[in-house]
Amino acid sequence: MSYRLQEQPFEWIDRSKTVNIEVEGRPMRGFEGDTISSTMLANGVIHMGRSFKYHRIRGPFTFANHDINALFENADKTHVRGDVELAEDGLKLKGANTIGGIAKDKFRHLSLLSRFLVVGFYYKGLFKPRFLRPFYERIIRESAGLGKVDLNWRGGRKSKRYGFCDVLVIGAGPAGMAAAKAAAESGAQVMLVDENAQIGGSLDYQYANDASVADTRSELKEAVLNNENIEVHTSSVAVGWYTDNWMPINTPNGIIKVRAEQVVMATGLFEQPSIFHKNDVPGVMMASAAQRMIARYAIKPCEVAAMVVANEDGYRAALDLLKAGVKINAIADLEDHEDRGDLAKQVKAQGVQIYDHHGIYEVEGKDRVTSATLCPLNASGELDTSRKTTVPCDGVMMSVGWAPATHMLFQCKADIKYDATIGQFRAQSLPEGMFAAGRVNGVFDIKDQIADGAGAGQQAAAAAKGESADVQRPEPTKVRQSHEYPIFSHPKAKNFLDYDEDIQLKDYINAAKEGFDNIELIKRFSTNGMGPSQGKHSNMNGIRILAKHTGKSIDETGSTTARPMFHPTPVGHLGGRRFRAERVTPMQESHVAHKAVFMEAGAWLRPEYYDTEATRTESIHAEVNAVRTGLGIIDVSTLGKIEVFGPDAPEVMDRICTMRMSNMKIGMTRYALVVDEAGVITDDGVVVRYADDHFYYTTTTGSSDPAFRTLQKQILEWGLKAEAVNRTGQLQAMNLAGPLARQKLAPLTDIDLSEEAFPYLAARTGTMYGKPVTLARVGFVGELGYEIHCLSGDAAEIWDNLLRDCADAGIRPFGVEAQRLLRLEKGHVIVTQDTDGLTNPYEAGMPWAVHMKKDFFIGKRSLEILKPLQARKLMGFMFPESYSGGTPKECHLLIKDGELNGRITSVSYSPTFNRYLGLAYVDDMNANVGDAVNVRLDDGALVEAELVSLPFYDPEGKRQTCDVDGTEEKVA
Amino acid sequence: MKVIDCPHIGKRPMSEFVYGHEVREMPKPSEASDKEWADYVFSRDGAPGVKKEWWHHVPSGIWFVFERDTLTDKFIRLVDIAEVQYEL
Amino acid sequence: MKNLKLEKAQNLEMWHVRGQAAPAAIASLSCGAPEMFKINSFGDFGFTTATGATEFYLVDEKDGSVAAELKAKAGDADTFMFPRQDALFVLSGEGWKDMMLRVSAFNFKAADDSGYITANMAGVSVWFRVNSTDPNKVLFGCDPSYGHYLYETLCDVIKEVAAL
Repeated sequence: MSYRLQEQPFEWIDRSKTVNIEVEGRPMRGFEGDTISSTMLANGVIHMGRSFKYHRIRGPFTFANHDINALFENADKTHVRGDVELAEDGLKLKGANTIGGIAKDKFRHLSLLSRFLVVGFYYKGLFKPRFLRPFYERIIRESAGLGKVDLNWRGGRKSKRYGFCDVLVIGAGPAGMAAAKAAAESGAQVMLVDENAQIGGSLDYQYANDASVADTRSELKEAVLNNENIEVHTSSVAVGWYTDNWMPINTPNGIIKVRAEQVVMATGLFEQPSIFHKNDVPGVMMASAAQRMIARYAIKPCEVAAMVVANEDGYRAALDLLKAGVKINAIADLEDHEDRGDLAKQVKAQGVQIYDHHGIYEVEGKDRVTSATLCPLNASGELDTSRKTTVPCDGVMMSVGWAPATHMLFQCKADIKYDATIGQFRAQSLPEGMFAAGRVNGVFDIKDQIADGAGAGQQAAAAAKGESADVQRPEPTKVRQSHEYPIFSHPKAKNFLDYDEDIQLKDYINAAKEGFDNIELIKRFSTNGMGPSQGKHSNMNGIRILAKHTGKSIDETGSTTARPMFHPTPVGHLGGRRFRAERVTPMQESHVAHKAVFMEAGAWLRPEYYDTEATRTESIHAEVNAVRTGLGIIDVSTLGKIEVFGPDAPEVMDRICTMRMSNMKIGMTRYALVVDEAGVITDDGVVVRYADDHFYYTTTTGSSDPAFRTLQKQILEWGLKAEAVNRTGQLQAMNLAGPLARQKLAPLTDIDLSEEAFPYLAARTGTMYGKPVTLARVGFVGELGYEIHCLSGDAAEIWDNLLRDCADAGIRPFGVEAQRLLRLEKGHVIVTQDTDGLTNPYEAGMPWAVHMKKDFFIGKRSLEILKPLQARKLMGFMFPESYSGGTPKECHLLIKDGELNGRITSVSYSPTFNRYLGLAYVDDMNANVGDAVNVRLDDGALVEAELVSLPFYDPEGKRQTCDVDGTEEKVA
Repeated sequence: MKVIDCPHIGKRPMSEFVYGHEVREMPKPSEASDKEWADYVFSRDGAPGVKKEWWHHVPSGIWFVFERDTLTDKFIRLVDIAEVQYEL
Repeated sequence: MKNLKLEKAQNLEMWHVRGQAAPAAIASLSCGAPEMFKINSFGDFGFTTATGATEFYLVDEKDGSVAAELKAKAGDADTFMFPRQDALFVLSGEGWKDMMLRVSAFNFKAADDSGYITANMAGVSVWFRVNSTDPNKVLFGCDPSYGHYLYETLCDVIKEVAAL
């Protein structure tokens, strides 16, 4: 038997091209333009999947992506939605929620256990009875979830892009097309988006046989497709609304992040089911589903139908069914068909039996509908089951009501209230920038829909120009379109509210009875609306049921918060292309050539060490030894570099640093410590004074951007005559350190490096290799050394030349890890390593850095309060050289008498001292050098170390002049 | 995401900015009691209302001060830096 | 967007001019005084612009005459000239503004071509200056440390859009 009808006027299929797919091994043939579901139906297959919880056999239901009855998976994709995904030649699919296939699913008898699987059973069953927990767990693990994730999946990213328009119209049905046309004709740049493969919306399936709209249809489509000011995106979904009309549109080629001046929502409605016994058996579907099958895919939905209706749309659908050759055995109208207008009369005139004030009570059939039983409604709206009329049928179509697609109107905070006249939620007022048109706006008559769209389009276009348009918009309909309560209980239950989650009417009511009678709570406890359809076919009925049960109005019951994404959006689209900015220094190539192993320091790549020895530790130690005994060079270009100048520059430096800076001598450097208003250390660095009104300030790598922007703000706030320039990326720096530094550097620069001309802690400007440089003698690693600052463009050359010209001295580039070890041997603090979110200079062992005699510096007042409250201090510790226990690490605690007594902030095995040493906070102001401390290791073992004075290495600072003093041994 | 309309650079999305916190008046350190000073350092006024705030536009490097209604998240006006400057 | 070309600009010099005397020095240049965030142009890519009361930028050809003028004036203690080492690029091709939609949230199509534009591009702060005579060419620059990343990223994007 062929389910395919003759050519339909607006069908989406191209009968000249066939496609061949396989579903669970069975080959099926369809046409280009067919979806997977329509192909299956054309081949006489109505079984599309197994439901989530009870594994009930399912068929087409909304046929609009508002349910997941037809969910498949194939080699590339986990969730293939049969109702909307095109059947492509060679596609091989299997059902998503089955074990053993759709027909012979292993869990198909699960519904026999349904009385034990009460609402919330996942939650409850995991508590008691405990002995059943393993049983539940096994069942849930095997049957839970929808489909299997392929752990080898390497899905593609689809790059995102930005988009701009004056008017964004969402929905290309009658109202949407009219809005786009009107907006474009008013001069706006328009973007028109529709989730379907083609524009036209309801005009092409609901009004397919309505002759009165034939001209309008072609006019609108032509206008939209041929206007160069309208950009059309089909198969595209607006996934959410974000502030100031920021709307991502998910297209098949990736997401477009659209900023629209104005938005028109013409998103239409979701058809809602009637709830009756076995309303999920294959063959039971929405009336609009049947219309889509006929109009788009030329599929005959069934041979013989029964219907339950509560609006004029139901009769329009009935006429479409009759025209497609379907026999209608009965129409149960929940009210009076005389109130449904001319269409109902036409249906009656064709001999269809209409039962006024009747509903469908139950349906029979296991694999497919075989009959429907109608009952009359009594005065309280319940079905009188003493009077039953049963008619044979293999299809049941429901047209009892609609829920508007108002998600994004909720997101933009439109004032949405329940319109009891129509029977649906509707926006009473909209925020600036947002318009609604068509059925989502409560406007139902097709001509009104189009006029509403055109009016909204005009208004939006005017608003985009900052003007207003005087436009008469049609009134919302005064005719009820959705039945207040098409919901009927049944002793055998199996009357479903949410088809995604297999929630029966009694499950939902029981949840309310258990106290979850708030709309947000009942959703989470019952899981209504939590499946992939996110309530598109179940939220409204849920609200109706809860309202009735609690005796509240629909408005009082309210609706759950609709959040993005409107439809599930692929992760590869959300991810898009990665823009992960990376900063490198000009010496990058050289580092690579010298086998640098890189680490990330913020956005920077820095050499962690150079992989020249057998192990990482050996390489780092070799670098440390080179600096201590010969010559090393490190790229410190990542340091923040800020120039501060102007008449008030000294005042600025005094205010931001804890120590006095304004009395610095020109040509000298000074260590600078910065604390915040709370007295907490935030940064440190070295400042060079170039002139009375000119300072050059280096900051730690991680804080260069925040330090600079904070400084700018402070200069503005204080109204001082000073300027700051961030030269972090413009200048580069390298530190040449080791006893041979002066000897090797002297011939390479025109600066006099003699101890008299250039003492320790001084800075000089001059040239190297003809390039302008600033040299500074700083003591971070504890050896004679020169920090060389130069222009970015000159840095690589200077670096390469130094490596070449100092090769005979055994110069080695050294990395961050070696530098950290070297400075640790000197007991130097690294901010954020040896300081935490509370450390003040006193705790960090730097009371000398705080010059209270200054009138003001940031943090001074707080430090006055904190000084007497000091309760911990940073101290140096060492393990014995013979130590052979476990590895001490950063953040290992110090324990005294079973209590917390401090923690390690930095620790390393020192090749200079052949033992572990480091810095630790000791929470004891009475702790002294020479005391023992107990360190708790990873495995809980307590090991002993000794508190020692700092610095560990070269306490007298002799290394800075070792080449001229004659001291050659390293001083330990 | 939110758009801020700025002088010189026009309408820019929030992603181009760094929030610089509310404009607050520092009490004179020498005159504030310890308690008053701690209150200034640690407490913030979390109630919604119209506030003057610092906003930093990263690509251009400009610091702006705007008045914003934090309840409705509407930017009300640009504030002249002179209005928020202070002397110690 | 098939004929987009990205090149590193080689023969330009860039200066960041600050200080109390900077406004007078900049205004007295032969190319005229610039307005805030507007390009005061000379030549294909030469320009001065003002980005603050006492903050200006100058781009000229290497060893160009306007740069030389400014260097002469800036011997003055109150005018600080900092050489800028920005990574500089020229993007040319008819669809460059469409390509920008891939990497920047700034609406180049709606922007004034005579403005000094600062925007975020692929995660990096970048300034832009459209060519004076050819609107299908744009000069842009960023902090030198981001230059490598930006160049590689834009080359990837250009390849991607050319294949569309």
